[in-house]
Amino acid sequence: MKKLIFQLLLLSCFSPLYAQNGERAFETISIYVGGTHHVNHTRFNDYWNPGTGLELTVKTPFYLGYAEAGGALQPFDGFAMDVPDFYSLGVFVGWGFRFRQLSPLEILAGVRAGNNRMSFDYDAYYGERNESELTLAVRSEVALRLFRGWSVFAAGTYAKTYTYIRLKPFYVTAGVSHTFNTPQWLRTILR
Amino acid sequence: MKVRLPLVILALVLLFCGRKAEAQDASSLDENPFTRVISGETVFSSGAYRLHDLLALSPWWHAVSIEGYTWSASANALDPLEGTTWTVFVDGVPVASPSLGGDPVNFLPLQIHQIDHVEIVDVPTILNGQFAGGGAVHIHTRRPVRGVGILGGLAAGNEIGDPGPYLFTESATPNVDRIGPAYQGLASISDGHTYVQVGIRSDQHHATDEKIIGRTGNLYVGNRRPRLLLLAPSLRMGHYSSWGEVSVSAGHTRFQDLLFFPLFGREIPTTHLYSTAAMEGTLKGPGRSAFRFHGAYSQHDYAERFNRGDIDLDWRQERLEGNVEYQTGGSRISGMLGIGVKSDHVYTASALRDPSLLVASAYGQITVLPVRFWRNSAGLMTSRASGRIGVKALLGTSFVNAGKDVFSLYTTYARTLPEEKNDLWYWMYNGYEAPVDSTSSLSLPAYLMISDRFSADAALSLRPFLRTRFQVKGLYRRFQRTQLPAYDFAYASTSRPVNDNGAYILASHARLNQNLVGNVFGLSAGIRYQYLPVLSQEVVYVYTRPFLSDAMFWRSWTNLPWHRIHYTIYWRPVPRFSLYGRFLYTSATRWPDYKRAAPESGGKILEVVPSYINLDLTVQKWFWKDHLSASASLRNVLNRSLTTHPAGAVDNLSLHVSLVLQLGSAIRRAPD
Repeated sequence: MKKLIFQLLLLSCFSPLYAQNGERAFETISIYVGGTHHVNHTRFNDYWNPGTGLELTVKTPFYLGYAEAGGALQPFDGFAMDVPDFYSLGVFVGWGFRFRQLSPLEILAGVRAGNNRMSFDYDAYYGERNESELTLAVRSEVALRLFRGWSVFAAGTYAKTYTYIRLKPFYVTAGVSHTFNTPQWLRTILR
Repeated sequence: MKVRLPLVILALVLLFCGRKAEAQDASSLDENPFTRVISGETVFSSGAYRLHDLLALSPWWHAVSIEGYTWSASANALDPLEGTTWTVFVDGVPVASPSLGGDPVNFLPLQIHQIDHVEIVDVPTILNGQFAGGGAVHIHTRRPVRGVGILGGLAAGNEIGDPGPYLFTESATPNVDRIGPAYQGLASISDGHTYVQVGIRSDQHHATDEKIIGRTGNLYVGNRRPRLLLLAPSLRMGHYSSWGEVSVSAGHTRFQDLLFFPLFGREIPTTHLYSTAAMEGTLKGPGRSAFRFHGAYSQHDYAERFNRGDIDLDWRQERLEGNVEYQTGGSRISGMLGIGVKSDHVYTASALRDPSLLVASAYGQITVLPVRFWRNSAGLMTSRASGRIGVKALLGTSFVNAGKDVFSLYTTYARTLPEEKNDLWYWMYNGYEAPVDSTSSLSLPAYLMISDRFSADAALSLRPFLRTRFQVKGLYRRFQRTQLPAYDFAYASTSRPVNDNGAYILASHARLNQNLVGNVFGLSAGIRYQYLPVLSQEVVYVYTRPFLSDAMFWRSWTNLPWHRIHYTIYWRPVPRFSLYGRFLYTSATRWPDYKRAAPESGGKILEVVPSYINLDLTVQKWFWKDHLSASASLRNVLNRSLTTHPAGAVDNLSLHVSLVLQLGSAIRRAPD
């Protein structure tokens, strides 16, 4: 936790020294869809083999930086008979900032907080099929703008799920995104 | 009638030479150093979603909990943590505290979104015929405005430390507490003069800390981990116009509790049924006068919640109470006279000497401003029960420099009858046979004494700059003939059938000590900066300690921290988006009641609760023209293993989220 706070402070140091114009908040919506894969090896990988998951994120300019919300669904296959397969659904909100844009490249960095819900294949302890736990993450992203709001992106996310034995996966995510002007009705809701 | 004549004379002098009590002077709340007014918006911004979260909002209140749901509190060193003497009021109606213990807010059929504002009173006060000697939390609800409105809320939390997927490996660990979910619903209709509001709230809390499971594993029945379950519907109706206001409220709570009962040495599964119906109003009289009244019925029924030991508190307590008072006011002098009555009846299989209890009281308050900047107040209340008289006297004076600088001195004297305390010890003395484990013992005195208390509070509040206020406060308490229970808990592992390893009981050896004498001294200093509505921050240091006290008095007061630092920040950088942070440092506390159990328990039970630092952060965003709000809180952000009670749960970092949808006239606007 302390490391994450430190990283957040570090990220803030690199943020623009002035806030974005409040008028621009929620002006556009960006939808990111990509495949995500757990690439580092931790104790967790002794029991489960991570499959490739799907991540969906919605980003919008915030008063300072950007805000995002989304979810990632990932399968994990147990190596042993008594270790069940499970799906992990991470639902998160996040905040970050865009570095000065080097058109057509865009670099983003941010933090995420959310809940990681793990759904197991069979009844677990006291009949529980699910476990939920707080997850915090830091993320860096590079996006290449193509045309008409379409982009491709690649991102690295270091997450920490606060189970008793912490899960510390590093994910690589790649996919496409589309940015469009926020419809008026949605802007009304968000503001 | 054994009333000291000088005492009565003093009280009468106070009545006619002072002014209305500071704590009640609503017109000067912003400059009253002993009453803190907190708006509903601030409560909501702080991430509070349960009523007991209100206790964390005052730097001068110290609260502890065993399982994180039921809290004991000491307000501004008016009492030690043993027993609840602080009083909760809802729209002027005092909440009947349960005599068997538990805090007086967690079971209320009231929702946090109904709160318009809260007054937290740090000094003894007389309010609507009730003497709140241990401080008060006065909740004022929002009156529905014209139209139809509905509100729905959802809140839940999760503490870290679950086993996650490792549950299926050799590294499996027990599950830890989930918090909630809590649901709230409100619907109201109003024509601008008459309104009806119905509400329902449900809540649950998972008491899965290993300490609690160890004590309850052989009592609790169910295939899931111990849970506290609450369901509380409520109704409120009212009418207001130029002649005054009248409101009627009713509610019922079904609270399936695990009540830590010290005499039994552990939690008792119980179903606490609380029913209430109340009417209160203010009718305008001639000139600037008014009549104010309230009448209330309440019932606490502790039914058996099925458990393996067939432990039953066997207790039902009904209360009827009311008051009528006449208020009159002028620019230089104002006053109030009133009478009140409180009648209790207890139903239990125990052979009580007298299951009924009647306390009648008469009271008055007066406020005088000899000159514009000098205000004086005095109040007197006498009460009679079982042929004995209790007396409360309040005296306050304050100098106000054009609303900027304030010096206030506030003193109270209280001669309290055992009947007024109306606590477990009174009823046990009266014949109630509380559940006591076979390994436990209990010692009661031959008779219960009337206790005396004197308290003095002084405050100097300076506003050298427009938005900054410095405040220094001092307090002194003198207790005489006071009663305090002392326990000597012994740790004993048990081999009775349990689901979990490490089952144990705390064999309780209890004794009610009385005729104790003690003194308490305290100082606090704080700075508050307000640039509303954008930024508000406050830091307060509080020092409290007993001195020149009996050993048993000292023993009970050492479970209050001597040092506390409380810092809060509210930052709303843009409309409809806010950040709230709270930092709390509390020095170590000593709990001699657990001295014997601590070494025997192998670290489960503590004698000294270590000092701790707690940091909570909340972010809140309003959407859709304030129809929707979402907040997320991280509590115990530094993830210290935090415990406030020697036999209580250890809390770690937790995430809480809250969503509220409000439509129609129920809408509460985000601060602009």
